[in-house]
Amino acid sequence: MTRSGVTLAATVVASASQVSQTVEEEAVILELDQGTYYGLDPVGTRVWSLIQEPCTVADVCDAIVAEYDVARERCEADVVGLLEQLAAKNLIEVQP
Amino acid sequence: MYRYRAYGLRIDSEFRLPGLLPSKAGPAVVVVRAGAVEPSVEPAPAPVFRGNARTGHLYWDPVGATRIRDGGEVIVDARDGADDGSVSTFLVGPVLGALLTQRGLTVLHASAVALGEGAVAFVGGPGWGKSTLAGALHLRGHAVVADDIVAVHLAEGVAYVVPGFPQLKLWPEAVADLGEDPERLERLVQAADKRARPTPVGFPADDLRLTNIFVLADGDRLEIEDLRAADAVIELVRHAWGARSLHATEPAKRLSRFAELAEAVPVRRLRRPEPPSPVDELSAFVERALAGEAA
Repeated sequence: MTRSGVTLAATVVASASQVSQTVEEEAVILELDQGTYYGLDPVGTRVWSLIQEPCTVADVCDAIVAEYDVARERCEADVVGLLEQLAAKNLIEVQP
Repeated sequence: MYRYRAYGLRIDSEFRLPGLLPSKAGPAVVVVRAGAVEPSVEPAPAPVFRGNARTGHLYWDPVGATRIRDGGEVIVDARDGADDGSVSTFLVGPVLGALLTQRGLTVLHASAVALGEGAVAFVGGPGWGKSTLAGALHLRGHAVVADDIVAVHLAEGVAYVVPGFPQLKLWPEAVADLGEDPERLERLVQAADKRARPTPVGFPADDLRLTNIFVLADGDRLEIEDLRAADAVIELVRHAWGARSLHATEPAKRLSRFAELAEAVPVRRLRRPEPPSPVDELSAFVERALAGEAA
């Protein structure tokens, strides 16, 4: 269990305090409280589109493994890492 | 009442707005007049914006308070002793920027110059050399389209720059870098030493297609660097007019507008060495880069 609570069983969803926009398969997210912007690469953008509705981290990994040529273990580490960053920036809500 | 035109707008103003082109006929779409603004005082060493997408208040200590409504009405509640230069510089700067945003234009903190088939915009923070570069290109025979505030509108995926008014705001050092004498140019405001450099030569009457946006940045040498799509949008919103004060005003709409702009126009980084290479070298480099693309 990490500090942000991002585990495979956790449910994650994009937080209410942001807006986002996708350009050429890259998401740009504006965090509304601080007015800070973040950009995601195409795979990060796919993760971002999946978590617009609440879903488990394991569900996100299932989708990414199915769509991209990546090993499960690697995918889980990358997805959890990305979600931890998004949680730290107040861009997602995490339910353990 | 003084009559002007700027950014494609007919402006009637009770305050003199030096730098703007005079206008004779036609009904005004923007009216600037003196009046009471409530609340009239807000500490604002730098311009501070309060309000929403339709009505905003802008405060700045050297001037006082202004209210901007529906992209057409500006009320100025100047404090006692406000100098004319500060009032007009505030009105044709931050206030006009907020007004153009209310009118639905996409507004960048940038300078724009007519180059090649259309206009090129240079974006960057204060002191990054946007206006100086525009001045150097002007001396090489290119028209200045707008300085400080660049207003863009999009039509069917094509971006157009609206000509602002023919004047650059330059620090005396920048004027000297351009090989001119700052003492021959008028000082804009009491509190700072920026000068007004008129640029009437070739000032366009009509909107120009925006063909390129360059984000000024430091580097080891002169070079142009491509930006990822997301980074391009982030650079544009970072340098949007009122980036700090307006982000809470219709944020989703603002973000999608800048995303649309990034899709319509190539956004790239223009790196130049620190200390800045002679501005003439930089302007010649930009000229050559764009000529190479056109060929």
